[in-house]
Amino acid sequence: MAATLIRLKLRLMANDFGRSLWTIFGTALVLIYGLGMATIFLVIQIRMGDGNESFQNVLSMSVLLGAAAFLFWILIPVFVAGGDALMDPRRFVTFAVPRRSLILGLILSAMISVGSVITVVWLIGQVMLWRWDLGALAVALLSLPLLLITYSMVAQAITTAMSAWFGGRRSRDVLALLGMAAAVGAAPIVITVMNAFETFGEALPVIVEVLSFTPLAAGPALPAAVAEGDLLGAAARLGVVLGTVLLALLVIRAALVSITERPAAASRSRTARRGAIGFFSLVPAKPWGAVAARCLTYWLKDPRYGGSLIIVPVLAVVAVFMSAQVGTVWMLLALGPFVAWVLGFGIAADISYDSTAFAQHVTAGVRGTDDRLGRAAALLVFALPLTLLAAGIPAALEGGAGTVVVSVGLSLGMLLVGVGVSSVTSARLLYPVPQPGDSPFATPQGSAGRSLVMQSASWLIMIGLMIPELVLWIVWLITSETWAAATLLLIALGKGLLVLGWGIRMGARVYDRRLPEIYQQVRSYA
Amino acid sequence: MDTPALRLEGLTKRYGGQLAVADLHLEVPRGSFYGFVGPNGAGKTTSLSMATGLLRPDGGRAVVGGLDVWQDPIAAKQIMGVLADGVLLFDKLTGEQLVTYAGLLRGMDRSTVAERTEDLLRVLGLEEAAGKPVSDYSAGMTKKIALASAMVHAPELLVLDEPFEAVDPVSARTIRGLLDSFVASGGTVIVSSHVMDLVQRMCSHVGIIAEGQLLAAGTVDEVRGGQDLESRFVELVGVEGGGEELSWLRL
Repeated sequence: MAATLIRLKLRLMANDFGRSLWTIFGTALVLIYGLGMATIFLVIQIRMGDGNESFQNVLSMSVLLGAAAFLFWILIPVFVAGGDALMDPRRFVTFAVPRRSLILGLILSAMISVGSVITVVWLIGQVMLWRWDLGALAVALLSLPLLLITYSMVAQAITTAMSAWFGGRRSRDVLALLGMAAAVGAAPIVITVMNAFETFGEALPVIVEVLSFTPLAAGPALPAAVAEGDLLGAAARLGVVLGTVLLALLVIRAALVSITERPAAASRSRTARRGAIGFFSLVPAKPWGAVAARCLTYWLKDPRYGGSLIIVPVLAVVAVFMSAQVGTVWMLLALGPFVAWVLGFGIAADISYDSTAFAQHVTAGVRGTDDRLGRAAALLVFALPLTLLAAGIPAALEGGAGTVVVSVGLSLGMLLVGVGVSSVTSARLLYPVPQPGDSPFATPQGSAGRSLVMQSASWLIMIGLMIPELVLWIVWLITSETWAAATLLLIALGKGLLVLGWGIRMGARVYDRRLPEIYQQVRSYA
Repeated sequence: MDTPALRLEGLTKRYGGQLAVADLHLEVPRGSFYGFVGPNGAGKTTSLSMATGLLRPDGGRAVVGGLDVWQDPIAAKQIMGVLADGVLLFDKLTGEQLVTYAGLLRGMDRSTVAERTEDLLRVLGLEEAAGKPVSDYSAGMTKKIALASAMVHAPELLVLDEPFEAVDPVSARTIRGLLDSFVASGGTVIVSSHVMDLVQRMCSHVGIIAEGQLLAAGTVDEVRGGQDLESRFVELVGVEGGGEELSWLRL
């Protein structure tokens, strides 16, 4: 049965590659990048394993790389993949697959991935790193499959658990908040630890020692313990690894049971009062107003929209901490342009997000101008005040009037240009996005290559359009002249509005000309 | 009143080398309740998509009440209400919001939209669910709210792709009632379906399509010629499989 699941995964992957060149391109890109990194480390590992390096250095290398690898296996399912879309356990609900076979099959099939290939290269380097000690070499060799399975199981445990228990909007918000809390909490801890030692070099052995007893790096530290002849330490670390495996197994099992044997009923949502039509009663009773009201409703209710903005509060918190603890101000000042940039791209995938519901715009004969204008208006309603706050407050706190003017100018310029460019690209350069109801972090199969190229293209256009502001900004940095700041603000506003108007007109033209083609393309992603 | 409500002239669509719809001519008279039937994959949805502006034809014209859908799309779409098959709705909106959205998108004023939304929700029995998000609706309720969105601007022609698919009998009756009164008041309806029985009872006209070609068209009585519609349909389209028994499928 496990073999059947593995064959199924291979077949699904092959079909996926056959479906579009973009999938092959995207996978190849990730593979080349990952393998490139792993090869660089492999060379270092081989060189460090020649027996002339100090034991501590070899250990640090081993543990730190190991911890990084483990973190990757944890974070990628949470933020990038949103679960193995090819082998979603929910698809197996109707097949009576024995529990044991399903668990084994899913764990093994999860190992067929680009990440595994890269991890194996690193693990081979790990073996090379410890080749100067026979015992350590043997342990490194033996722990290679163990570690690969551990990583795969931890990743599988996270995806299955998210799928089983954190599917809803509310739990995702909770997760995001927890993540933010962790980021906030981690900063002072790291800073305190760093302050306790004179230099990073002094702190490193302690950090490595602590890490080597956590699931993060217990496995990679095994050969070290053997090389030192510390059998008790080796046993303890083996215990940590096996404990991690066991815990992962228990989580996978419990999550799979809850998915396949107790499918949950859809949750009930709140019922609005009759006549309570929300934003629809606030906007102008025009087609573009209706589009704006619908988009605003979606910004509030559809986690896919807000999902892209989660990074904003996280960054704000980190920036505040950086300035409070270390006195780093540039992050705080960069907040405005950054928020503007993220928000400006908020509507870059708007039509793709509509999915086939976009048919309603097609059959109702919505004009391009109304569609483009409505979407841009909905975004600007909250993006303008947010950008002004993010640009104005830090600048007012950290600098003078000149800083405020420059910061607001750069940010508004960025926002207006971003919305203008997005208004064109969202009609012209469509790419697959998570479908309605999917996790905002899900990456649709075969989208990596295409969306990467599309996004880079629009970013390049945007940077090109921002050149006047950037030049004036540099002039202001050098000269601190008031005229530079004032000109920057005026140009940012004037040119921004021009680009916005041009973007909406241009986007509308593309929309009107290619309406059925846009719809068919969106439909092909569904 | 001579111009038909919908006229398809030589509509053609090719996917790769495959002809999905081949030179389709079809005339839907004003005030008719037209059934558009065919086996799965016959080209029903493709034809209706080309008639409603969702899919650009490779050749031919689609004319709604004298207006060419591909030359004058905005005007043609104004007099047409569409329920497409297999598409999502903006289902984060409540039922009431969705119908309001449809109305405002058509450029209607707010009070008319509110009034008609209220009427539609009442007639379709969706008053209690009006404040719920459409994503919580059952299949039948979803079809009904989609129908309400397609009708709110009082179109002359309703193009409904599989309006009865996955709909329970009670909802189906409600929908039929609404469509019957729409036709009785002078409106034109074209529905695609593969439930012959329903088409025979409900429709005044019928067109049969298979493999992208129109096999027969006319009033229901003309087409069925004394037989029941299903027999006539199977006769035209042909039977698949040989009535063979599966030896292992016996208890």
